[in-house]
Amino acid sequence: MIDEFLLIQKMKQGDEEAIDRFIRRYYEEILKYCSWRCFDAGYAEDLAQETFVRFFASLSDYRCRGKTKNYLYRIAGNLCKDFYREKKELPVKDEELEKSGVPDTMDHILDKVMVEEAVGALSAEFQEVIVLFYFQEMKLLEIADVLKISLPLVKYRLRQARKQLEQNMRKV
Amino acid sequence: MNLEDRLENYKEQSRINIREEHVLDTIRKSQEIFYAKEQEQLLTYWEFLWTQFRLVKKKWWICQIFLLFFAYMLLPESEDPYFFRSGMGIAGVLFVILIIPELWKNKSYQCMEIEGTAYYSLRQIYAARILLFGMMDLLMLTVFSMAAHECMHITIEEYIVQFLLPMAGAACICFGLLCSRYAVSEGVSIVLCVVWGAVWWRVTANEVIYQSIQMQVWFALLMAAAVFIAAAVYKTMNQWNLCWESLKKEIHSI
Repeated sequence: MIDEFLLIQKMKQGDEEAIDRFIRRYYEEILKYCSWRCFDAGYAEDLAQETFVRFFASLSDYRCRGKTKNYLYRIAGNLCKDFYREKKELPVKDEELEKSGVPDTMDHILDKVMVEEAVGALSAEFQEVIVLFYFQEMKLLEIADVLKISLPLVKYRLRQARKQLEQNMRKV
Repeated sequence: MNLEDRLENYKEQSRINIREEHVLDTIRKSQEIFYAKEQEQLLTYWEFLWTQFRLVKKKWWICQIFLLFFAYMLLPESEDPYFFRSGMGIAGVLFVILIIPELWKNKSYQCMEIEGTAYYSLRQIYAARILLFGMMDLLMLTVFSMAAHECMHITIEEYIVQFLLPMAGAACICFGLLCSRYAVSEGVSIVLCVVWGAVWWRVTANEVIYQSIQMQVWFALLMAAAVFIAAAVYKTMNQWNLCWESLKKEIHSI
């Protein structure tokens, strides 16, 4: 926490090396989060970039209360919600599967599509907890801090999200 | 396959590639937006004051503290009242001489042109510097006067006449030259303060003159000096832009 606090103070002074270190520290995690939320590499990169741009746009007003990582997650989460409001249909691209090194079998493709469709059909609130819990492997307390909700509410949403997800997968 | 296994499989199959060019692009855009936003933001007055405080060379304040400390340590040791009087007077004059380098700094280093481009005007920059010096010197003098009264057993009248009055005289010379329309170097200011110190020393050396001047006269002189300093400071701040304009004309004529 102290290390992060000092890094942010350096960034506020305009230290370019500090900005570089900060972005490299959290870029991968935020990119993964955006990827799980929008299921498209291109959009995920744009959303991740926009997350950092918005953070730095208000850096001078930022006060270190809690983990900066969780604050970045909140920005990314809001951007993903806005993205979903535009309701983009995203077909799975073959070149993406090839790049990931996954064998190009029908089963894998179907599984991937099923999961993406099922998760994509969830409401924004449920999607958030599913992605943060299963894909980002966050603890429930961390999720509560990111989403700024209580721990019981996180557990409730996770439970409901699982039920909804299972129903969606059966439909798909 | 249950839900958790499906999600786990999906996570393992989906590998996310991080493109270095995109990371660099993100860093560049983040820096750009940060600088753009910072340019729109103005310093608050307290932040501006703090910035000016950081620019002031602290060594002169340290010298002033040492001067007062030596005065506090050495002067009470003397049993000769004449030595005590002249010593206090010299300490008062030296106290002002030690702030001359900082007040003349922008002229000495010719940074008026740079300060002229700052968002805050030269007037505000000088007001901030004079305020900082005033606050610091007031604090030092308050501590010294308390120590002088408690430990050196100096009365307030003696303190005012023997320390504050010569100090005020030197301050009048200093600020009077600072706001002068003529370009006077800090060396001239220091020399004139030293001359004033010598004059004061001669006045206090002459017992006849010194004893004949009533306390009311000393107080009146001190009040007159205070009014003159206030007027000089006001004139300094108002005339600074005029000095800057005349300097710009000089540069354009070359």
